[in-house]
Amino acid sequence: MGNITGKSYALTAVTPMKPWKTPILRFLFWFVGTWPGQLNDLINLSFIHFARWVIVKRSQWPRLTGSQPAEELNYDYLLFFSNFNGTWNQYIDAFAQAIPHKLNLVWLWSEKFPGAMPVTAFKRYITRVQIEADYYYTSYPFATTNDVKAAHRVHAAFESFRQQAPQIPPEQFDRAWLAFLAAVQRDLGKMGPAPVGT
Amino acid sequence: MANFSGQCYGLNVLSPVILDPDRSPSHEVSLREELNALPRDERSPFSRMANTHLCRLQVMEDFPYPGHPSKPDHLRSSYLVFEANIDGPAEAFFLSMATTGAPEIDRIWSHCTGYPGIADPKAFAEYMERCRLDTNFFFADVNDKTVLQAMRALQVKDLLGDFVAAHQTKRGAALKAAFEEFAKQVEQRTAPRPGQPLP
Repeated sequence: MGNITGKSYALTAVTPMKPWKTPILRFLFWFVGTWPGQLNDLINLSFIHFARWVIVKRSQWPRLTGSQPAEELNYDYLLFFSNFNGTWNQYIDAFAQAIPHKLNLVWLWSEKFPGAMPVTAFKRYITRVQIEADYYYTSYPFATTNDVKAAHRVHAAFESFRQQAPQIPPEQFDRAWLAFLAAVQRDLGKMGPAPVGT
Repeated sequence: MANFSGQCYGLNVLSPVILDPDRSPSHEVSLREELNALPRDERSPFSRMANTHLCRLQVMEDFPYPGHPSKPDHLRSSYLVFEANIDGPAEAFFLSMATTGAPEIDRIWSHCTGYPGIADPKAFAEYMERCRLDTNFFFADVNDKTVLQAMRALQVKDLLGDFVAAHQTKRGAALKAAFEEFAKQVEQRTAPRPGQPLP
């Protein structure tokens, strides 16, 4: 399937916006980006590797040669790219349940957006405005976002313990080992095969 | 603009596809065949450009229509959409695409209008820059680690889990010796290539 590689799903949504509305959304993105605490909800969801929104003005579609016809459009467009773990349904459900007001603030300016809740109408909207990926690559197909975060914690703890280990007397090693294990044990889960996505 | 989150860069490139009504199959079809045949694992050109976390390529032939009463918009050209999440700035990545990413990158973008080829990496980078769009809001859950650091950390996590499971009954000097031997082996082991499944 084009949108899925390993444990990651590539969602692309393209929505039209009346040109007079795009400066408002630009300001909102700037505002949220300026106050990093606004991202805590997304960080806590912890199943999105990367996500982004891109506003393309109707005059901004690249025209590289004179022979390429210029686009004549009614709308500016909002492009949304997300790289997440789990199935499409799980993602939209969790996204809409966890941060409905923030989603509304982002897509309120797009034509025909029904609101993030109730989720059935939101899902129908995303289905309508989604485009398929023809190719999708991930450097770590076997890992979820949580796996990546856990791995960095384990790696840091391992490097620290590895350097201390030679100085620990054998009779004290069990205690040190158990303290190390207690710190990393919840991050040691196996990274099994990817579930079948929908 | 919000192209960076920490050290991660959100790259967006829209390259118009060549319009040639006399060509059969069309450039869109050939491009899709090219993308369909591109490996998604460690044989991918993006694995060789080892600073690509995740990326996608898609041919956008027209706009999705959200419904009445919005006015239907139609594109006059198709666009190759390239979205990538990379370590570091776009300029260095473009040069890496032209060198390390050849020949697949060349085959893909040869279906695009105004594409100069990769023989001159600087010209390629300038072309990509003309097609690049700024990101308005970028979120990266882990934004302070490179791809290679992530591959190494995932390998250590996997190996350590196996070591712990295999040495549950060892104690004292035997456990210490086993751990020090394990730590030495981990240090000597090379990280898996990006895109490669864990063994």
